[in-house]
Amino acid sequence: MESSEQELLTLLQQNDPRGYEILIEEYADFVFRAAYRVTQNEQDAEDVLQESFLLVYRNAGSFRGDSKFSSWLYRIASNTALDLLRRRKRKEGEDVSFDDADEQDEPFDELADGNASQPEDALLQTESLDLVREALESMPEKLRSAYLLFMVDGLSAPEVAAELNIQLSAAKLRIHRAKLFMAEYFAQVKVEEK
Amino acid sequence: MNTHKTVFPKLEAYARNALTIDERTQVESHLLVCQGCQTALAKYQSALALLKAASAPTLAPQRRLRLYEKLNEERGKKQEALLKIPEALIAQARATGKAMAESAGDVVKASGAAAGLVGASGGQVVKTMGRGAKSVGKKMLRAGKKSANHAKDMVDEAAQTALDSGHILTVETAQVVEESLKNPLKAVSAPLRLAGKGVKAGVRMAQGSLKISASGLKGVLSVAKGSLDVGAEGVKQGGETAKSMLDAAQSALEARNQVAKSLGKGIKKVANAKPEDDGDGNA
Repeated sequence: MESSEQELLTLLQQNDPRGYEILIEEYADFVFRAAYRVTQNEQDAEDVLQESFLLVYRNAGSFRGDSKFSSWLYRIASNTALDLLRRRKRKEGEDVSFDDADEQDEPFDELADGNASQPEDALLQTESLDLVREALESMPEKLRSAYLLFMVDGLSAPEVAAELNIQLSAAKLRIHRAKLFMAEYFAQVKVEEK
Repeated sequence: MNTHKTVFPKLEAYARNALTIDERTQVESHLLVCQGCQTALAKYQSALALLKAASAPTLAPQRRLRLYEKLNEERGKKQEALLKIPEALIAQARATGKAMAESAGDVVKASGAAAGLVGASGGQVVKTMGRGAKSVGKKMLRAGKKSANHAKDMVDEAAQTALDSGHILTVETAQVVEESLKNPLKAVSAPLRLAGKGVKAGVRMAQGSLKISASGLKGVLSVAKGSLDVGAEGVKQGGETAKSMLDAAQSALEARNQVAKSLGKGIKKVANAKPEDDGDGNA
């Protein structure tokens, strides 16, 4: 863990208000973004942000420092967001498993290594922010989180796996499927426009 | 070694900032001399910027402020020291809130005007459709009346023909019987004469049927003409309704543009909201 993260954690574990001031200033955007990637809704993302910080406030003492502090925070935010969606879906009587990607049945040695494919080929064809937003909203949550960590945050596939606490093979597969999803989405839009 | 072949597949990873320092250096040296790679990289970068903008909304000052307040609420319950909320954040949240309220007012105003415009156009469409329906209805009534008259004529014609033929045949048969009684010799040819009368009556009936058919044809023609009139009126009224709907759609588009303009102004206003100066040169 980096020294600044270690210092912050010490302040949090001592329940020093300065630690929480630093936490908000340096990590609120990061947590809000992580929550938004799951919920695709700013109001829900704000609820998740508040809930995640309250969880940190209640559980800072339980963080053992095995992983990066930011990874721990990311997991808290995405799990809280998933819980929110599960609660809502359960209330509406929908399936709550989120098992939208079968991660056992494809070879993935060549996937998501950065060099094996050109992921934005589909994206390169569009200049519409609304369209990209719609595509991301339609993408299954599991794929979206992995895809955005890889594409926007510039994480490598092993880093995505660590961030999401999943196997490397599963991370590669999710990224690969997300790219296919985007390509298919834009192709479909093109067909509908004709 | 062909550097372009090695570098080109790495451009997307370069754009994502996901290369090692050595790889970055290799890509950057090649970019200096390769126009194709420069163009491809620019495309990757703009696509990624689009993706970033679509996936990462910024945390508004009000939301950050509410996060401070939420944590302080929890700490307050346990009587723990509260977090110090930055003055700049409070000022920024206040300025953004004010700009949002003003913009919301403008948008409500624009929406009200737009709703009025759309409502008026909708009313016009309904009026035009009503007028069209009334006019088509009139034509249909007229055509229906004509058809009924022709049907009545056909029935009358048929009844009259049957009556006439029957009457003539009865009179002629009576004459043949009377002549047969007076003159027994004529009785020999009576069946033949009666048959001839029957044939004549048949011919009369056939003539009558032809008249009925002609009358029917006239009726059918009249119905067809009536239908054409109704259809033409329908098309005419449909055209007017369509025109009216187009006008309404045009108004709705104008209304939408007005609201969008107002929203755009509002978003700009909120984005550019600056904390007010407190008089000492401090925001």
